[in-house]
Amino acid sequence: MAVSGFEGFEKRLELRFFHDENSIARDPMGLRLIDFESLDQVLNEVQCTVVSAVANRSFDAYVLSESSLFVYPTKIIIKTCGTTQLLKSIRPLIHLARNLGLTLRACRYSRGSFIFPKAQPFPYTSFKDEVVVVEESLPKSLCYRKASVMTPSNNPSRAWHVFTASADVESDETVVVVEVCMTELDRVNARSFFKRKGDEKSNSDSAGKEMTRLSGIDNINANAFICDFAFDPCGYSMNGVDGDRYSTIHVTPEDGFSYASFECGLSLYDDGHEDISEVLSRAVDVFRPSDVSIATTYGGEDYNNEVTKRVERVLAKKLGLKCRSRIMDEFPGSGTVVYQSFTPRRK
Amino acid sequence: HKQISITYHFFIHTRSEDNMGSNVSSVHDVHSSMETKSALVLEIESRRQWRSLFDSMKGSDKLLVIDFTAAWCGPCKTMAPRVKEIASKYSNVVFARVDVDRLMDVAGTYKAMTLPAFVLVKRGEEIDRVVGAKPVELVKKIEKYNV
Repeated sequence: MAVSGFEGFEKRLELRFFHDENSIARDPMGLRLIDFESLDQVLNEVQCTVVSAVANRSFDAYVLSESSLFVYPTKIIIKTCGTTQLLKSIRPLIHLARNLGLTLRACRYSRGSFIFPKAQPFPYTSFKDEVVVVEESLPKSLCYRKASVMTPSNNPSRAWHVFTASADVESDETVVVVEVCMTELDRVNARSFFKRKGDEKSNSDSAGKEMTRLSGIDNINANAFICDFAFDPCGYSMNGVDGDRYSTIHVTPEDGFSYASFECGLSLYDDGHEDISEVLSRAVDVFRPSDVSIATTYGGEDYNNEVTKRVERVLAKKLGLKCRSRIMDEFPGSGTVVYQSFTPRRK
Repeated sequence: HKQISITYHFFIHTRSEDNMGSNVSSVHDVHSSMETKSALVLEIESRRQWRSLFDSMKGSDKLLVIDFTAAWCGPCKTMAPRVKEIASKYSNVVFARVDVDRLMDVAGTYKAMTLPAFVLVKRGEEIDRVVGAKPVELVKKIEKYNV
């Protein structure tokens, strides 16, 4: 384990809004009307910038210098890594939404455990401090709140931290969010994410495309349009766009602190879409990591134990990954979170 | 370790680029620059206009760049000033902006669903495309095919 290096583990913020009863014109575009300059200013506060962007009828997807931003009409998801100040975005985003007649309805802040916790700035040095900062930024109307640290008994250093706040006691969010965090990536697989010698000056977009192809990331979801980006001298980010579904992958390939994340939003009752366990298995297979954790957030759905078990079966069968722990927790107004951790069978 | 070079800050519009050259215009220059300005990016309003442009270009070796946009596309709006700059720099390339909701069949023909999408066409055939707000890649491809 390196003494210090780039922190791959992301901080994730999700804000959900609803249209004011008083607002005269309810533009279906909602948050997508926020102009780019304003978004850029918010991201400046967080210490990251936009490197690439695409949109379709359902949402806007931005690849950032430190991860990703997704803007739906009533939902924003920001995921940033390194030593970014993600929580600084809460107040300005609430303000920008207010100007469009949108009121905050729910907030979720989550992250894994940092590889280099001491390198983080305040308040990210302790989850307790992060929770204080989030709470201070939220209106009192979000009265159903809970903070939880889900710690696997077999690996206490890889906990999952969640804070949720909601104006409603029940969530009607139909999207299920799956977040996969992988460390100790296979060294050969990780090599795909280094820019080749002589490529340093080349266009990052074409280098990104090469990485997407070489690594097999383009096979995870053949339907998705992939907006990719290769960093200097190494590192990779992509946003996948498939109808109203987003997906995102971020890779820190350096040995000693290698990390990759895969996240997607989907619906459990996915007619016409592929089984999530197959998609997850392909995503994990790209990296062949020695350590995998999966956090699944079931919005308003009743926790679906079948999906959890199926994911465990598929990962065991196809990748020889054994589930070492499974923790479940319920969050009022936000749903259920299931946190699983896996390591290869031999270990 | 993740170094972001200055070229990636393309979204930040620099005032100085706007004002370049404006001090040296004469009466003639104003006239021609007005002409160039109005023709920088052709806004395609109708199918007929599209057909006429497309057919007129089929016979020439001129590069056509179709800029697919939509009202719901935030990234397209941020890309627009960059497209204008690129269009003014490559004056022998024809830029045509097509709103995918207004000209649905053209959008359908080129499968433009994720935007912005820049489709490069020569002699009536698509030769390449850039999807996403990527001015650097767009310029690279224009230079490649603008011969």
